[in-house]
Amino acid sequence: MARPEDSLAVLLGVSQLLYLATVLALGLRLSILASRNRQLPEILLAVHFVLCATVGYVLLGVGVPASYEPGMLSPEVMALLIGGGHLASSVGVFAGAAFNYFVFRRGKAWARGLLWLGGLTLSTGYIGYAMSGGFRDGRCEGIWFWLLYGTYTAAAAWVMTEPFAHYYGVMRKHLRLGLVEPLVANRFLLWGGGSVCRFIMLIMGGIPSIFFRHLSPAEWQALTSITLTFVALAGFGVSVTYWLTFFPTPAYKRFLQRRHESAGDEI
Amino acid sequence: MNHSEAFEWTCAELESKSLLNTLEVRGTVRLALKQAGLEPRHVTPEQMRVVLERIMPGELESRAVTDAESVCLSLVPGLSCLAAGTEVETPEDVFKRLSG
Repeated sequence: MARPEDSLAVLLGVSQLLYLATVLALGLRLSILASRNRQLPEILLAVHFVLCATVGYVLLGVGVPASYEPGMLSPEVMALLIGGGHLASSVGVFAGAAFNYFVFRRGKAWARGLLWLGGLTLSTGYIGYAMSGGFRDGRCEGIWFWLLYGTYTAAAAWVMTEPFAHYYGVMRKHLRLGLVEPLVANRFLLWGGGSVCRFIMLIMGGIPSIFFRHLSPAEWQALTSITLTFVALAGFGVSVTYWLTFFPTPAYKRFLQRRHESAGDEI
Repeated sequence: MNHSEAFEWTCAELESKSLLNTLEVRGTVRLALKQAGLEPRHVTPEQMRVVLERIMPGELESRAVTDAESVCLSLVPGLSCLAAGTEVETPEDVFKRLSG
Protein backbone atom coordinates (compact mmCIF):
# COMPACT_ATOMS: atom_id res chain seq x y z
CA MET A 1 0.00 0.00 0.00
CA ALA A 2 1.37 3.41 -0.99
CA ARG A 3 2.46 5.66 1.87
CA PRO A 4 0.97 9.19 1.98
CA GLU A 5 4.39 10.74 1.35
CA ASP A 6 4.80 8.58 -1.77
CA SER A 7 1.42 9.73 -3.08
CA LEU A 8 2.40 13.33 -2.41
CA ALA A 9 5.72 12.83 -4.18
CA VAL A 10 3.93 11.47 -7.26
CA LEU A 11 1.35 14.28 -7.19
CA LEU A 12 4.07 16.88 -6.81
CA GLY A 13 6.25 15.29 -9.49
CA VAL A 14 3.45 15.20 -12.04
CA SER A 15 2.36 18.73 -11.15
CA GLN A 16 5.86 20.17 -11.41
CA LEU A 17 6.59 18.41 -14.69
CA LEU A 18 3.34 19.72 -16.12
CA TYR A 19 4.09 23.20 -14.77
CA LEU A 20 7.60 23.26 -16.23
CA ALA A 21 6.44 21.90 -19.58
CA THR A 22 3.74 24.59 -19.70
CA VAL A 23 5.91 27.56 -18.77
CA LEU A 24 8.71 26.37 -21.04
CA ALA A 25 6.26 26.07 -23.95
CA LEU A 26 4.87 29.53 -23.18
CA GLY A 27 8.37 30.99 -22.91
CA LEU A 28 9.34 29.56 -26.30
CA ARG A 29 6.02 30.55 -27.85
CA LEU A 30 6.35 34.14 -26.60
CA SER A 31 10.03 34.33 -27.61
CA ILE A 32 9.08 33.39 -31.17
CA LEU A 33 6.20 35.88 -31.14
CA ALA A 34 8.46 38.61 -29.71
CA SER A 35 11.18 37.97 -32.29
CA ARG A 36 8.57 38.41 -35.02
CA ASN A 37 6.64 41.46 -33.87
CA ARG A 38 9.25 43.18 -31.62
CA GLN A 39 6.52 44.35 -29.25
CA LEU A 40 7.61 45.25 -25.73
CA PRO A 41 4.87 43.33 -23.83
CA GLU A 42 5.72 40.11 -25.67
CA ILE A 43 9.46 40.60 -25.06
CA LEU A 44 8.91 41.24 -21.34
CA LEU A 45 6.61 38.28 -20.93
CA ALA A 46 8.99 35.99 -22.83
CA VAL A 47 11.85 37.08 -20.54
CA HIS A 48 9.62 36.52 -17.52
CA PHE A 49 8.61 33.00 -18.51
CA VAL A 50 12.05 31.87 -19.62
CA LEU A 51 14.09 33.36 -16.78
CA CYS A 52 11.79 33.44 -13.77
CA ALA A 53 9.25 30.70 -14.35
CA THR A 54 11.66 28.20 -15.94
CA VAL A 55 15.42 28.77 -15.42
CA GLY A 56 15.23 30.42 -12.00
CA TYR A 57 12.59 27.97 -10.80
CA VAL A 58 14.66 24.93 -11.77
CA LEU A 59 17.97 26.27 -10.37
CA LEU A 60 16.43 27.29 -7.05
CA GLY A 61 14.29 24.13 -6.98
CA VAL A 62 17.53 22.12 -6.97
CA GLY A 63 19.73 24.50 -5.00
CA VAL A 64 17.51 25.34 -2.04
CA PRO A 65 16.65 21.73 -1.07
CA ALA A 66 20.34 20.83 -1.49
CA SER A 67 21.18 23.51 1.07
CA TYR A 68 19.30 21.46 3.69
CA GLU A 69 22.07 18.85 3.46
CA PRO A 70 25.38 20.63 4.05
CA GLY A 71 28.20 19.06 2.03
CA MET A 72 25.86 17.47 -0.49
CA LEU A 73 27.07 19.85 -3.20
CA SER A 74 30.31 21.79 -3.41
CA PRO A 75 30.13 25.51 -2.48
CA GLU A 76 30.89 26.41 -6.09
CA VAL A 77 27.97 24.38 -7.41
CA MET A 78 25.72 25.75 -4.68
CA ALA A 79 26.75 29.29 -5.58
CA LEU A 80 26.00 28.58 -9.23
CA LEU A 81 22.57 27.15 -8.45
CA ILE A 82 21.49 29.70 -5.84
CA GLY A 83 23.20 32.74 -7.37
CA GLY A 84 22.15 31.84 -10.90
CA GLY A 85 18.64 30.99 -9.74
CA HIS A 86 18.15 34.28 -7.96
CA LEU A 87 19.68 36.23 -10.83
CA ALA A 88 17.34 34.62 -13.36
CA SER A 89 14.40 35.03 -10.99
CA SER A 90 15.18 38.68 -10.24
CA VAL A 91 15.48 39.66 -13.90
CA GLY A 92 12.37 37.63 -14.72
CA VAL A 93 10.36 39.10 -11.85
CA PHE A 94 11.31 42.62 -12.95
CA ALA A 95 10.26 41.78 -16.52
CA GLY A 96 6.93 40.48 -15.22
CA ALA A 97 6.34 43.63 -13.21
CA ALA A 98 7.35 45.75 -16.21
CA PHE A 99 4.82 43.83 -18.36
CA ASN A 100 2.18 44.64 -15.76
CA TYR A 101 3.14 48.32 -15.82
CA PHE A 102 3.25 48.70 -19.61
CA VAL A 103 0.03 46.79 -20.22
CA PHE A 104 -2.20 47.94 -17.34
CA ARG A 105 -0.77 51.12 -15.86
CA ARG A 106 1.37 52.77 -18.51
CA GLY A 107 2.06 56.41 -17.71
CA LYS A 108 0.82 56.23 -14.11
CA ALA A 109 3.42 57.83 -11.87
CA TRP A 110 2.71 55.59 -8.86
CA ALA A 111 3.05 52.45 -10.98
CA ARG A 112 6.30 53.67 -12.54
CA GLY A 113 7.58 54.43 -9.03
CA LEU A 114 6.54 50.96 -7.87
CA LEU A 115 8.36 49.38 -10.80
CA TRP A 116 11.61 51.23 -10.13
CA LEU A 117 11.33 50.57 -6.41
CA GLY A 118 11.00 46.89 -7.25
CA GLY A 119 14.09 47.09 -9.47
CA LEU A 120 16.01 48.75 -6.67
CA THR A 121 15.01 46.25 -4.00
CA LEU A 122 15.70 43.31 -6.32
CA SER A 123 19.20 44.50 -7.17
CA THR A 124 19.98 45.56 -3.59
CA GLY A 125 18.62 42.30 -2.18
CA TYR A 126 20.55 40.24 -4.73
CA ILE A 127 23.88 41.99 -4.10
CA GLY A 128 23.38 41.98 -0.32
CA TYR A 129 22.46 38.29 -0.30
CA ALA A 130 25.52 37.47 -2.40
CA MET A 131 27.89 39.53 -0.26
CA SER A 132 26.55 38.06 2.97
CA GLY A 133 27.28 34.52 1.76
CA GLY A 134 23.73 33.51 0.91
CA PHE A 135 24.74 31.91 -2.38
CA ARG A 136 27.08 29.48 -0.62
CA ASP A 137 24.73 28.22 2.09
CA GLY A 138 21.35 29.02 0.50
CA ARG A 139 19.96 30.10 3.84
CA CYS A 140 16.47 31.57 3.78
CA GLU A 141 16.94 34.20 6.44
CA GLY A 142 18.46 37.61 6.99
CA ILE A 143 17.47 41.04 5.76
CA TRP A 144 18.85 40.53 2.23
CA PHE A 145 16.96 37.29 1.70
CA TRP A 146 13.75 38.88 2.93
CA LEU A 147 14.26 41.89 0.71
CA LEU A 148 14.64 39.60 -2.30
CA TYR A 149 11.84 37.19 -1.40
CA GLY A 150 9.58 40.05 -0.31
CA THR A 151 10.01 41.72 -3.70
CA TYR A 152 9.26 38.47 -5.54
CA THR A 153 6.08 38.15 -3.48
CA ALA A 154 5.04 41.78 -3.90
CA ALA A 155 5.58 41.62 -7.67
CA ALA A 156 3.56 38.40 -7.88
CA ALA A 157 0.78 40.04 -5.87
CA TRP A 158 0.71 43.02 -8.24
CA VAL A 159 0.69 40.79 -11.32
CA MET A 160 -2.29 38.80 -10.01
CA THR A 161 -4.18 41.87 -8.84
CA GLU A 162 -4.35 43.90 -12.05
CA PRO A 163 -6.13 41.47 -14.37
CA PHE A 164 -8.20 39.77 -11.72
CA ALA A 165 -9.41 42.54 -9.47
CA HIS A 166 -9.21 45.53 -11.78
CA TYR A 167 -9.47 44.65 -15.44
CA TYR A 168 -11.92 41.77 -15.19
CA GLY A 169 -14.70 44.22 -14.31
CA VAL A 170 -13.82 46.46 -17.25
CA MET A 171 -13.92 43.44 -19.57
CA ARG A 172 -17.37 42.44 -18.38
CA LYS A 173 -18.63 45.92 -19.23
CA HIS A 174 -16.99 45.79 -22.66
CA LEU A 175 -18.38 42.33 -23.31
CA ARG A 176 -21.92 43.42 -22.52
CA LEU A 177 -21.61 46.09 -25.22
CA GLY A 178 -19.87 43.87 -27.74
CA LEU A 179 -16.64 45.89 -27.50
CA VAL A 180 -14.48 42.82 -26.95
CA GLU A 181 -14.55 39.18 -28.04
CA PRO A 182 -15.52 36.64 -25.35
CA LEU A 183 -12.23 34.79 -25.87
CA VAL A 184 -10.12 37.90 -25.26
CA ALA A 185 -12.21 38.95 -22.26
CA ASN A 186 -11.91 35.49 -20.76
CA ARG A 187 -8.12 35.59 -21.25
CA PHE A 188 -7.88 38.20 -18.46
CA LEU A 189 -9.72 35.89 -16.08
CA LEU A 190 -7.45 32.98 -16.96
CA TRP A 191 -4.31 35.08 -16.66
CA GLY A 192 -5.46 36.38 -13.28
CA GLY A 193 -6.41 32.90 -12.07
CA GLY A 194 -3.05 31.48 -13.16
CA SER A 195 -1.27 34.34 -11.43
CA VAL A 196 -3.15 33.61 -8.20
CA CYS A 197 -1.99 29.98 -8.43
CA ARG A 198 1.60 31.12 -9.00
CA PHE A 199 1.34 33.39 -6.00
CA ILE A 200 0.24 30.39 -3.92
CA MET A 201 3.18 28.37 -5.29
CA LEU A 202 5.60 31.14 -4.34
CA ILE A 203 4.27 31.54 -0.81
CA MET A 204 3.80 27.85 -0.07
CA GLY A 205 7.07 26.84 -1.73
CA GLY A 206 9.00 29.28 0.43
CA ILE A 207 7.48 28.36 3.79
CA PRO A 208 9.45 25.10 4.43
CA SER A 209 12.75 26.81 3.58
CA ILE A 210 11.99 29.66 5.94
CA PHE A 211 11.14 27.40 8.88
CA PHE A 212 13.76 24.71 8.17
CA ARG A 213 16.10 25.83 10.95
CA HIS A 214 13.35 26.62 13.45
CA LEU A 215 11.32 23.40 13.65
CA SER A 216 11.97 19.85 14.76
CA PRO A 217 12.37 17.31 11.91
CA ALA A 218 8.90 15.88 12.56
CA GLU A 219 7.27 19.30 12.62
CA TRP A 220 9.13 20.36 9.52
CA GLN A 221 8.09 17.16 7.73
CA ALA A 222 4.44 17.79 8.61
CA LEU A 223 4.64 21.40 7.47
CA THR A 224 6.34 20.40 4.23
CA SER A 225 3.61 17.85 3.45
CA ILE A 226 0.95 20.53 3.78
CA THR A 227 2.74 23.22 1.81
CA LEU A 228 3.82 20.86 -0.96
CA THR A 229 0.24 19.69 -1.39
CA PHE A 230 -0.71 23.31 -2.03
CA VAL A 231 2.25 23.71 -4.40
CA ALA A 232 1.20 20.60 -6.34
CA LEU A 233 -2.43 21.69 -6.66
CA ALA A 234 -1.45 25.25 -7.59
CA GLY A 235 0.97 23.85 -10.17
CA PHE A 236 -1.94 22.10 -11.90
CA GLY A 237 -3.91 25.33 -11.70
CA VAL A 238 -1.13 27.36 -13.31
CA SER A 239 -0.66 24.80 -16.08
CA VAL A 240 -4.32 24.65 -17.05
CA THR A 241 -5.10 28.38 -16.84
CA TYR A 242 -1.91 29.60 -18.53
CA TRP A 243 -2.23 26.99 -21.27
CA LEU A 244 -5.77 28.09 -22.04
CA THR A 245 -4.67 31.75 -21.92
CA PHE A 246 -2.10 31.28 -24.67
CA PHE A 247 -3.23 28.09 -26.43
CA PRO A 248 -7.03 27.99 -26.20
CA THR A 249 -8.32 24.73 -27.56
CA PRO A 250 -11.13 24.70 -30.16
CA ALA A 251 -13.42 23.05 -27.61
CA TYR A 252 -12.72 25.80 -25.07
CA LYS A 253 -13.39 28.49 -27.69
CA ARG A 254 -16.72 26.87 -28.53
CA PHE A 255 -17.58 26.60 -24.84
CA LEU A 256 -16.95 30.34 -24.33
CA GLN A 257 -18.93 31.29 -27.41
CA ARG A 258 -21.90 29.18 -26.32
CA ARG A 259 -21.74 30.63 -22.82
CA HIS A 260 -21.63 34.14 -24.17
CA GLU A 261 -24.56 33.57 -26.49
CA SER A 262 -26.69 32.02 -23.76
CA ALA A 263 -25.73 34.36 -20.91
CA GLY A 264 -25.07 37.54 -22.83
CA ASP A 265 -22.49 39.06 -20.56
CA GLU A 266 -20.88 36.13 -18.83
CA ILE A 267 -17.17 35.61 -19.40
CA MET B 1 -6.25 66.29 -18.87
CA ASN B 2 -6.35 65.52 -22.59
CA HIS B 3 -9.51 63.96 -23.87
CA SER B 4 -9.96 62.07 -27.10
CA GLU B 5 -11.35 63.76 -30.18
CA ALA B 6 -14.40 61.46 -30.04
CA PHE B 7 -15.18 62.63 -26.50
CA GLU B 8 -14.77 66.34 -27.27
CA TRP B 9 -16.75 66.14 -30.50
CA THR B 10 -19.61 64.20 -28.89
CA CYS B 11 -19.85 66.66 -25.99
CA ALA B 12 -19.92 69.65 -28.33
CA GLU B 13 -22.60 68.10 -30.53
CA LEU B 14 -24.76 67.02 -27.61
CA GLU B 15 -24.58 70.48 -26.11
CA SER B 16 -25.83 72.01 -29.34
CA LYS B 17 -28.66 69.49 -29.71
CA SER B 18 -29.95 69.44 -26.14
CA LEU B 19 -30.79 71.97 -23.46
CA LEU B 20 -27.97 70.76 -21.25
CA ASN B 21 -25.07 73.06 -20.49
CA THR B 22 -21.40 72.23 -20.98
CA LEU B 23 -20.84 70.80 -17.51
CA GLU B 24 -24.01 68.72 -17.61
CA VAL B 25 -23.16 67.29 -21.02
CA ARG B 26 -19.60 66.43 -20.12
CA GLY B 27 -20.68 64.86 -16.84
CA THR B 28 -23.34 62.81 -18.59
CA VAL B 29 -20.93 61.55 -21.23
CA ARG B 30 -18.38 60.71 -18.55
CA LEU B 31 -20.95 58.68 -16.63
CA ALA B 32 -21.97 56.82 -19.78
CA LEU B 33 -18.34 56.02 -20.55
CA LYS B 34 -17.80 54.79 -17.02
CA GLN B 35 -20.72 52.41 -17.40
CA ALA B 36 -19.04 51.05 -20.51
CA GLY B 37 -15.64 50.72 -18.82
CA LEU B 38 -14.12 53.40 -21.09
CA GLU B 39 -12.07 56.51 -20.41
CA PRO B 40 -12.56 59.98 -21.96
CA ARG B 41 -8.85 60.08 -22.78
CA HIS B 42 -8.81 56.95 -24.89
CA VAL B 43 -12.33 56.42 -26.20
CA THR B 44 -12.36 55.86 -29.96
CA PRO B 45 -15.11 56.93 -32.40
CA GLU B 46 -16.19 53.30 -32.77
CA GLN B 47 -16.48 52.84 -29.01
CA MET B 48 -18.34 56.15 -28.70
CA ARG B 49 -20.80 54.98 -31.37
CA VAL B 50 -21.65 51.95 -29.24
CA VAL B 51 -22.05 54.16 -26.17
CA LEU B 52 -24.35 56.52 -28.07
CA GLU B 53 -26.48 53.65 -29.30
CA ARG B 54 -26.65 51.59 -26.12
CA ILE B 55 -26.13 53.78 -23.05
CA MET B 56 -26.48 57.47 -23.81
CA PRO B 57 -30.23 57.49 -24.68
CA GLY B 58 -31.08 56.29 -21.18
CA GLU B 59 -28.74 58.79 -19.58
CA LEU B 60 -30.24 61.69 -21.55
CA GLU B 61 -33.81 60.59 -20.84
CA SER B 62 -33.06 60.57 -17.13
CA ARG B 63 -32.02 64.21 -17.56
CA ALA B 64 -35.32 65.09 -19.26
CA VAL B 65 -33.84 65.45 -22.74
CA THR B 66 -36.66 64.94 -25.21
CA ASP B 67 -36.30 62.47 -28.04
CA ALA B 68 -33.00 61.30 -26.57
CA GLU B 69 -32.61 58.30 -28.85
CA SER B 70 -32.95 60.38 -32.02
CA VAL B 71 -30.48 62.93 -30.68
CA CYS B 72 -27.94 60.19 -30.02
CA LEU B 73 -28.44 58.43 -33.33
CA SER B 74 -28.09 61.72 -35.20
CA LEU B 75 -24.50 61.92 -33.96
CA VAL B 76 -23.44 58.52 -35.26
CA PRO B 77 -22.78 59.50 -38.90
CA GLY B 78 -20.61 62.41 -37.76
CA LEU B 79 -18.56 60.15 -35.52
CA SER B 80 -17.60 57.98 -38.45
CA CYS B 81 -15.99 61.02 -40.08
CA LEU B 82 -13.57 61.40 -37.20
CA ALA B 83 -10.16 59.89 -37.57
CA ALA B 84 -9.59 56.76 -35.52
CA GLY B 85 -7.46 59.01 -33.34
CA THR B 86 -4.22 58.30 -31.61
CA GLU B 87 -4.54 54.62 -31.04
CA VAL B 88 -3.28 53.92 -27.55
CA GLU B 89 -2.49 50.27 -27.13
CA THR B 90 -5.00 48.83 -24.67
CA PRO B 91 -4.64 45.72 -22.51
CA GLU B 92 -7.18 44.08 -24.85
CA ASP B 93 -4.89 44.72 -27.84
CA VAL B 94 -1.99 43.05 -26.03
CA PHE B 95 -4.00 40.09 -24.77
CA LYS B 96 -5.54 39.62 -28.19
CA ARG B 97 -2.06 39.28 -29.73
CA LEU B 98 -0.71 36.93 -27.10
CA SER B 99 -2.30 33.78 -28.44
CA GLY B 100 -1.24 34.70 -31.96
